[in-house]
Amino acid sequence: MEKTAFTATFTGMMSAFLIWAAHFAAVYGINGLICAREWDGVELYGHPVAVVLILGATAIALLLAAGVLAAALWGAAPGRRTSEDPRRFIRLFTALAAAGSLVAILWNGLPALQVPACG
Amino acid sequence: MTPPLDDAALPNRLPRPKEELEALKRAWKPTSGLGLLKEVNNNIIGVMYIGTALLFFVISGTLALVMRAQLAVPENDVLGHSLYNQFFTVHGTGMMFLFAVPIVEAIGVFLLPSMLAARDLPFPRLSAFAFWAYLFGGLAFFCSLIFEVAPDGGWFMYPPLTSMKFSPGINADFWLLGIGFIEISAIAGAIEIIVGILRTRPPGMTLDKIPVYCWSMLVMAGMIVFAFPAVIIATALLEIERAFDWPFFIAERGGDPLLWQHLFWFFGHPEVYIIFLPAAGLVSMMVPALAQRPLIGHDWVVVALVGTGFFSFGLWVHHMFATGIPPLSLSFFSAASMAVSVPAGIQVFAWIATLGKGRLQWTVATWFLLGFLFIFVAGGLTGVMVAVIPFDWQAHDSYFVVAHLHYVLIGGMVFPVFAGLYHWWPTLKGTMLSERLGRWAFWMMFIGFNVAFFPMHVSGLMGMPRRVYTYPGDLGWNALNMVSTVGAFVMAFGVLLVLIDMARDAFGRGRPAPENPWKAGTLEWIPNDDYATRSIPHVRSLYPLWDNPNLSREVQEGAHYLPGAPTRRRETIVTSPIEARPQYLMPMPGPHWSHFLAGLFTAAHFICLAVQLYWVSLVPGVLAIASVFWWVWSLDRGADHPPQDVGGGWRVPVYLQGSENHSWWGTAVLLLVDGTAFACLCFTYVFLWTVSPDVWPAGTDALPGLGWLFGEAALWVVAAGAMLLASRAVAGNRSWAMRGALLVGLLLMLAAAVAEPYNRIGSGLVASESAYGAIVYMLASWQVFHVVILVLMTGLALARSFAGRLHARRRVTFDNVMLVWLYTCGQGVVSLLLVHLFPRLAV
Ligand code: HEM
Ligand SMILES: [Cu+2]
Repeated sequence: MEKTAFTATFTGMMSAFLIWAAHFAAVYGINGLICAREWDGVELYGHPVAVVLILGATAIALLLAAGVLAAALWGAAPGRRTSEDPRRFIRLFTALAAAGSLVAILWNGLPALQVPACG
Repeated sequence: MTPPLDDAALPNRLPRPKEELEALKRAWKPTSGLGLLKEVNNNIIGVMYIGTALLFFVISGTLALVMRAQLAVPENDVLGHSLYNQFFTVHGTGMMFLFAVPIVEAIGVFLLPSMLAARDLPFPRLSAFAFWAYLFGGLAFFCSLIFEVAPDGGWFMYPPLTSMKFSPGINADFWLLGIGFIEISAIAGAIEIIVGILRTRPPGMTLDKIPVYCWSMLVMAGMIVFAFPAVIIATALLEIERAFDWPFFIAERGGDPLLWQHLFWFFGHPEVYIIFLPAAGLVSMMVPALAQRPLIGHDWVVVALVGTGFFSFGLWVHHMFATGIPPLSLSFFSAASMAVSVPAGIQVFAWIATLGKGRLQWTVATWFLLGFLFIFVAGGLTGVMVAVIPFDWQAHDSYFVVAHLHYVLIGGMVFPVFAGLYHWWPTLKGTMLSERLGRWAFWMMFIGFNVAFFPMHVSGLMGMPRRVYTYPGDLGWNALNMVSTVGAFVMAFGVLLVLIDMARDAFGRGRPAPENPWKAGTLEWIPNDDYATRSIPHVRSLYPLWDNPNLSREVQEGAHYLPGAPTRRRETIVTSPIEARPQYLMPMPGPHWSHFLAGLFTAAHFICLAVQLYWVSLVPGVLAIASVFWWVWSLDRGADHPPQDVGGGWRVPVYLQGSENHSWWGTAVLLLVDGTAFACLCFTYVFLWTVSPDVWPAGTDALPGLGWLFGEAALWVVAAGAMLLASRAVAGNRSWAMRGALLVGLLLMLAAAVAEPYNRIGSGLVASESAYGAIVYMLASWQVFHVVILVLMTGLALARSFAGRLHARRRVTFDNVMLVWLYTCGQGVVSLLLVHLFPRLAV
């Protein structure tokens, strides 16, 4: 029984970092593809396609990470099936990781507003 | 007279019967003389491992001194141009791959079990194998210098400089094969460390009570799992390009040298943290001991460690700022590079706060720690400087970078490791190194280091490029270089003093140490023997020795878990990963020749490949496989004993099947490595398409028909089904049904693996013609390789079945084969979907 609890708990603890990683891969992949295919002239909703897609991905990642943070703070965090001892730590870990990832995702996404996509 | 211990609350009642300790001693008695080669005990392997890493440090350092001598004055001729290139390549490679990563793993092999109060790591033979492979491979690598066939393309080996056209000799092959295979030893160590930390903790050491060092090692091992496959794939691709002319990196045929840089730095940047995080973990253990108070912000430090592990994967392109990557892409990496300094900063604050609040003991370790803080912070600041893209364009490939990298690496890992050497030396055999010599050594290393490397910032800004073997005398760099060289020799003298100090101790001149000389709070300070601690303590806090002053005595008298060897052999307790509850008693393999021979023959095989003795290499190759068979044959013993009492009311089985078994965990981690390698190949496919879509087939005419896709995919799926049937047959003890299903499944997999290259050859695709052909055949070969491995593994399972060692209640070997098998089938399908559908869908 603890095996499933472990996989779920551990993934839960890492989820915010994993969201960061997915976001990072997504924005780098999107931009790389757009520049390699020379699609940087294309517009979406009146803005360069790279900016729209990257900001969209950033918004989604921020929402997800905020969800993890809220879950950790309101007690729906992973580790519910474990005893009180490690649970406090698991919640704190998840919350701190989510807060850190939130900032990192924002910090990574912001350059899209300023820097030209392909130059 | 010390009062008797209160035994009511203790896991085992005192006093213990006398035979118990004797049985324990007998089971763990080390072999002597030549038997040392057979030994697997982590205390012994760990020491040999650390010693070898230090030896390789000295060799690589000596090369650096010769280089510094060459650069001391302009237009010098100690080393010629080509030899200088070999020297800096072997120095950089040696330091990064043969010293830095191995020594942090070696310290882990030595220290982790005692910090976790486990009798040994979970796969003792695997760490012994990793050690021997590393020793033989490393020695061969350095020997290439003697014959002047050492690699000369820098430790990062950028093509096209290292491709056949520009490096026709065997120099580059030495790097690719030598280092590629030492990576395998690093991965073996990582698997060991992950499973060890998650599963062999002492009862009561729940997730929140794991020492920081163990967290840092867990993060490091996890990073190895996800970073090293990238460099293994990169080296494999380059070696295949060199041997068979498959153009992965050759631009004229659709390849791209930048592909190498992506794969290499996807490993290479995390590598820096793979080296630094364990060192930071050591610091987080020494600081509380030296300050005599708990680490301030422990939970934050743990999150910071894990966060650094993740974030550092988002940095690889910062080594490629000058390669013409689009500006927005660069800024993601610039942002991530700055973000990663935040968790490092959290740790630095935690250390300083703890040191400031505590009552500091002034030991040699304290000095080295202060030196580390100073140098590392300085290196971090120059790191933030080069993360600024315009500054990087200015400083790129100048001595400024050489200065930065040595500040970070030497400050960030050499100083903490030397601090650790002095700090944990007493746990080795109860003696202490000399405080006086140590202090001298510290000051010479510290001053020498700064004198050597600080001027390089200046010479770099004055325009001195890196990797030059000499320079004209009228550029104003002469004095700076002379000072650097003098500093390097002063530092080397400091290192020499440490070696002398260790030699003195080895010859019996060390001072006997009191028990727990620095009054530390963690488990490794409980007196140890070959069998680790007498009993395995029940843990209730982060600093158990501070919270229970009696703990050490209780443990030594056998009042805690597993005070003897109930099944008369080497064993340790496996606990659950979150709450550390005892689950079963893991039998540990004892001394044996097999893993030693396996290491020796594996090294011999790769060396033969490097010097292009392809046919000869088959001999050690086959012998290595045979040794591995011999090695694993005696494992998986089944429940050969009834459940045993380990104390505290825990009666645990001696065997557990299924996903709780430690070897199942080891296999699962190995498959993560495998999956990452496969992901790198898929990345290669898509990356080569983005840079040269012109070599991809334009219409569907040049592609094999979709029938091939469906047919081959069906074969993989049915093969997976055959395995599931075989698994059912094992559960029902229907041996012949199982054997039949396995054979049918193997044949189906062979057919699937061969069909793919076969239909490609039929459609006229040639691997050496374009990067497209090369990667398509590479993905197909990857599947063939897996099927070959499965033939061996299934052969083992069948042999065990015929020998009566595989049945419903003893099926761990089978389950591990099943994991690899099912993974391979899944990978086969994904691979097919990619190569058949992508060219049809891509615009
Ligand atoms: C013992 C003190 C050391 C000295 C005097 C030293 C000196 C040098 C010198 C002179 C170079 C060549 C620079 C060039 O020509 O561009 C170099 C390169 C390098 N060193 Fe060290 N080093 C020392 C220790 C270390 C350590 C401990 C590490 C790593 C853990 C290390 C890693 C490297 C790397 C990665 C390179 C780059 C090689 C390349 O460009 O391919 N060094 N070092
Ligand atoms: Cu880097």
